[in-house]
Amino acid sequence: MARELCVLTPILPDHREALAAGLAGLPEGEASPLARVPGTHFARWVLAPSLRPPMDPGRETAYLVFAVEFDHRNATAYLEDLCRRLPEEAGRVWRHCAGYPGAVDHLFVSWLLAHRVDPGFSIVAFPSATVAEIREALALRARLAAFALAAQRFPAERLRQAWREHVGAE
Amino acid sequence: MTVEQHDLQGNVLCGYGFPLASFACVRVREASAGRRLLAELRPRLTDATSWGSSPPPCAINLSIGWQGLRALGLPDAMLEHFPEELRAGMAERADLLGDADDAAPGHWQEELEPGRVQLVVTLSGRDAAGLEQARATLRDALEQAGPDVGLEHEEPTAVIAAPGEPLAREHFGFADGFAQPAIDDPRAGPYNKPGQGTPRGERRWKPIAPGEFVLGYRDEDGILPGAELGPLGRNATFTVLRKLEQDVAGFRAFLDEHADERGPEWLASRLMGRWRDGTPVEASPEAPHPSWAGEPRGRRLNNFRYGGDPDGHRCPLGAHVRRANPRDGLGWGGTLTRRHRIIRRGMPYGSPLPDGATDDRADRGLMFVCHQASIARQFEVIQGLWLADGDALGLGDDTDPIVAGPRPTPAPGKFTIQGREPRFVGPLRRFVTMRGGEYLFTPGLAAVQALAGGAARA
Repeated sequence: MARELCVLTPILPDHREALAAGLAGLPEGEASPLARVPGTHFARWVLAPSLRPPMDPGRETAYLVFAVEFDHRNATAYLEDLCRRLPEEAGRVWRHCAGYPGAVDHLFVSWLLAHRVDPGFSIVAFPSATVAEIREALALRARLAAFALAAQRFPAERLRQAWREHVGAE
Repeated sequence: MTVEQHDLQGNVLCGYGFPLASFACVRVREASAGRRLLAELRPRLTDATSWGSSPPPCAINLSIGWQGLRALGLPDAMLEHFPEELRAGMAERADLLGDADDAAPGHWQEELEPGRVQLVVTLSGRDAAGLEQARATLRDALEQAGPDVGLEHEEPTAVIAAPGEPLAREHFGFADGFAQPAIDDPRAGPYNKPGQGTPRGERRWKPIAPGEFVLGYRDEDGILPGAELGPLGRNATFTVLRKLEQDVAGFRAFLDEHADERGPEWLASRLMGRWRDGTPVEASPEAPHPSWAGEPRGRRLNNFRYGGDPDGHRCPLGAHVRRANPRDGLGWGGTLTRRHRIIRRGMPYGSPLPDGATDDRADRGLMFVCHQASIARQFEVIQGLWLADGDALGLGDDTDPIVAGPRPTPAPGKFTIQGREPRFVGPLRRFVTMRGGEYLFTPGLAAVQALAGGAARA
């Protein structure tokens, strides 16, 4: 069952461009540092140039949005895992935000959780499956497709034998 | 509201139907010279006003890439209002578009390589003399503008007309160019025929709002596209130009290799979603209809839907024309497709490979051209999400069998012909290879005048 987390942290004055450049320089997809956290369905950092803080709606502030869907048992477990697996990148991103505790540790996790917001609505492609299950299903589909391509013109007896061998190998 | 035909450039909403065209790439080395060229070209550009029954011998049109806009000296305050995909350029979007392997930007033709295309002057001719007249006009304008602008490259194209056939063909041998969106503007063009708009109710079709293709008019959601460009965007459109090389011999060999007892033509029709003469497989799965292609403008070739065939038992879900325009095939009537339509103005280049001929290795293909209000929402959704990927169609990694190469996945690329006994065709190969091109801005004529005068600097 995928869970979600959304964190909004205010960006320090004059840090917006440096943060944007840092985010733009990060690799995406499988090479993304966020991909190093197993069980991550989808994660992204987004720069929101002007939001109105609820405490002070008259003032527009730039925020860093971090939104993620994950398999961990709760948000704390996910963030602790993130701290272990990408401490350098996480520090380089969040140090541009007001209140960053100075190190990626348990205080950092508490700080992020204090900035958690309820997303209200989120979409997960496969909410009831773990990332590992999804990857295995995709691999199974690829193996089945290869089998179908290779065996579709086999006569019945040969097809039966090939299918048994295929299932046996599975 | 009707589109201002006198300001819109020609061949956007309504096609010229000329048999010859050449895409001239012009390089601007100095901004003032580039603006002089625009001033020279402006009175010679062809607008969209109807010709009636007497077409001129030639037509000339202008589109400008991001590098061209910069070379013309547009101020940053103006440049930053252009959409992100235009500023990035087509090469930067290669991953999304499926331009990988031999089609990747690093392999593009030198004259069309990333960032190279600045200005594209499209020369169209009623005949060879007309095209030559258009060329002479461009040469004259270039001479007047001075040595700091120059013609860098030309891509000549010509319609392939099959003897005795009512519709023009592309190199693989399929009738092409007769399926265009119907526009909700009585002066926009001759395409308002059943099946070319958006499905509405059980049998009707609704023409598409002009703002889906021309900036400054309401689109399908009632929004005015291009408002951020101000007057510069009035009567403009965004244009995609892609040189697509076609491996005709490879395609024919693939059909022969993978055909079953129903023959290579049957397989070709499943891959395309149309028989060679244009008959839609969805409407006539067993054979081409004997008379539809011969009717004026193929008016019945587009009057069909996919909503009654959700499993692809008549027309495969992955067939090229079904992917490129799914109509009501994604569910929800036409709601999910009505904002992803394009107007195609492509032209074949190179000489056709005769039937039965061995591979001559000649360069042939299609100069693909399409117009839309948003390249990211229209062309890139079709090319990137519907042709180069199968997820949105429930097809997983299956890519378009004709125009997209297989994805770099462990599974062999395949094409599925759904049915009570489904058939898998593969491994797929790349028959169409991207050779270069660019995303372009095609301004209205008043905007060309403003750019020429440097008024956009104000």
